[in-house]
Amino acid sequence: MREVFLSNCEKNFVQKTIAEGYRLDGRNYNECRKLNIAFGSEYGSCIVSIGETKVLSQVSCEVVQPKQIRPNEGLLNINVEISPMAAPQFEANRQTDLTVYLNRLLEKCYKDSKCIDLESLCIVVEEKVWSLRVDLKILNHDGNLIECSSIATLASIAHFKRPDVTRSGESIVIHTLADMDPIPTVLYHYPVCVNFAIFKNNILISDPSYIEETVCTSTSEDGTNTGGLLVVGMNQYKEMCLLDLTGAAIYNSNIVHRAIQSAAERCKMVVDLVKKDIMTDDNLRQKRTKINFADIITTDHAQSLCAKDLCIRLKNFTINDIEMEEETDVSKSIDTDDNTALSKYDVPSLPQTVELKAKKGASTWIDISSESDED
Amino acid sequence: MQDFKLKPMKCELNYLSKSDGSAILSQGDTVVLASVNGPMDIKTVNQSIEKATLEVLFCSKEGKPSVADRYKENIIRHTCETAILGCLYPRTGITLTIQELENYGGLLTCAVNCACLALINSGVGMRHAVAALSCCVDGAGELVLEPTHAQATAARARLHFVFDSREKSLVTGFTEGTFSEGTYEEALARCRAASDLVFAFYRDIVSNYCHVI
Repeated sequence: MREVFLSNCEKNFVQKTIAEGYRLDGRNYNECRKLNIAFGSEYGSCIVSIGETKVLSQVSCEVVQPKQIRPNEGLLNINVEISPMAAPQFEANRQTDLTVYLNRLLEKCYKDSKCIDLESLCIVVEEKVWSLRVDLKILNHDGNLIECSSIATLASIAHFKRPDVTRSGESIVIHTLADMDPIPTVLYHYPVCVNFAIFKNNILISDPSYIEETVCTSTSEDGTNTGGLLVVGMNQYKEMCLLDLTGAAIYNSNIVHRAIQSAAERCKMVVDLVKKDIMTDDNLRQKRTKINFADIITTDHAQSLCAKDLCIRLKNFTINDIEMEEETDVSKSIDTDDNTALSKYDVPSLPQTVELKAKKGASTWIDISSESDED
Repeated sequence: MQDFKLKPMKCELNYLSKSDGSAILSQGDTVVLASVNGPMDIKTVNQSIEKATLEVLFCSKEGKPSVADRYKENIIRHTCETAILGCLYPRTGITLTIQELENYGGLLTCAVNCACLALINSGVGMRHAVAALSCCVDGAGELVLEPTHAQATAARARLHFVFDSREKSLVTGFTEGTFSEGTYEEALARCRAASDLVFAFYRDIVSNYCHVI
């Protein structure tokens, strides 16, 4: 299926609101959506969600022969797959530009930066080494895939523990998890990729949502393209590992400097969160608590269909403006994405929202005589 | 009437915002996520003039795709094709993607149940709902309904059945191992009786959010 086309009015509206200093979901330019990391029962499996964007990551290992040119180093393989689950426009088993883009950026960030100690994965030089394989599956694409995938890769590699190996003379014994405690991967530093959307060569937006990403990389009315996506990879020591720009060329290097400053803070915060979550998970496992992906099942999304989750949050919204609420509810049905969590106000009585609509009568856009709406 | 106890089931619908319908289901420790998109446009070569084409994609958690995944896709596709009212949507395609999150036994039955919930959530017209259950024959020849992971791996035979919600007739059956005809009949009867619990669970989950719409 082809991607849902971005209409001109959507594009112009988003560009205008961003130029005026607002974002559709009510965030500031440098505010990010809620980041959540959930670990599964196996070591090295996690689901990371930024807002509604969700990525599943699983690390597995096996013993293979090392490369000829690096006989004492283990192997690391990162593989991203986008299935029709992420969004209907993706086809099964088909590599798109987006897949190649994600794969290459993650390779640059985690393999070229040498953040993982590959020499510790060696068992017998030139003969046997551990080969780590990170499989990333995009579960839901609501913008900012690169950041979500990079946090998922980092969290799962840091969480992963490989089986212990002992040598006795000529033979090598690989112990099961029950036999001996598994060994965590050695990470020298924790790099994370942060994504920024650039609008009109001047405005920098962190953690762009799906519609913001699509708008900034599209051409504007006069046929020019002044926007792009900037990806900055940094670790918690404020060292840069990756810099990538998609879209229009930047005229002013000031933007890159601003982005790096902003990325440094965000990366430190993310890495701290990842480390904290891994430690909590470790403690829980030591107490023999069962950890399972079933724990991510909640009742949060039960009412997503009845417009509880507004994707447009205007700044001057008050709880008494019931008419305004109806207008945005109607406009919500045009837009297809959903944004959850941070609501500036709380819709008081959900089950009655639909009844309220019917009782209030016609929406204020359409001029019909009030009698015709009495059902 | 025997009192059947199935593994504790937890489910959340609308889990994915970009899919038309999605469900994440956990049966015991096994967790599966399913997403449905459709009815939508597909290539002319894949179109059928009289009904919708169902495409199933099963993704295991790690490693490259394998033949075992294709086998599961086949079973799920045949089961869901009978359930969906494909004649309502000719020349379109419905894509069902299933992602395995945790596997502690009963993966295929969990996947079928999750797929059914996702289809209900997506609003695609269906003839009936489907529920999958499994039984296993342990070393002593005893039948165990909904075996645990340890029991299933040590079993002599594993029988899985899928029933429909209207007449409780058998939609799909797949078995592994050796067993007698009498064992088969008994397993079929037990699973059929226990399927009531699964359908009651579906009704529970759907009524949670249906009364709000």
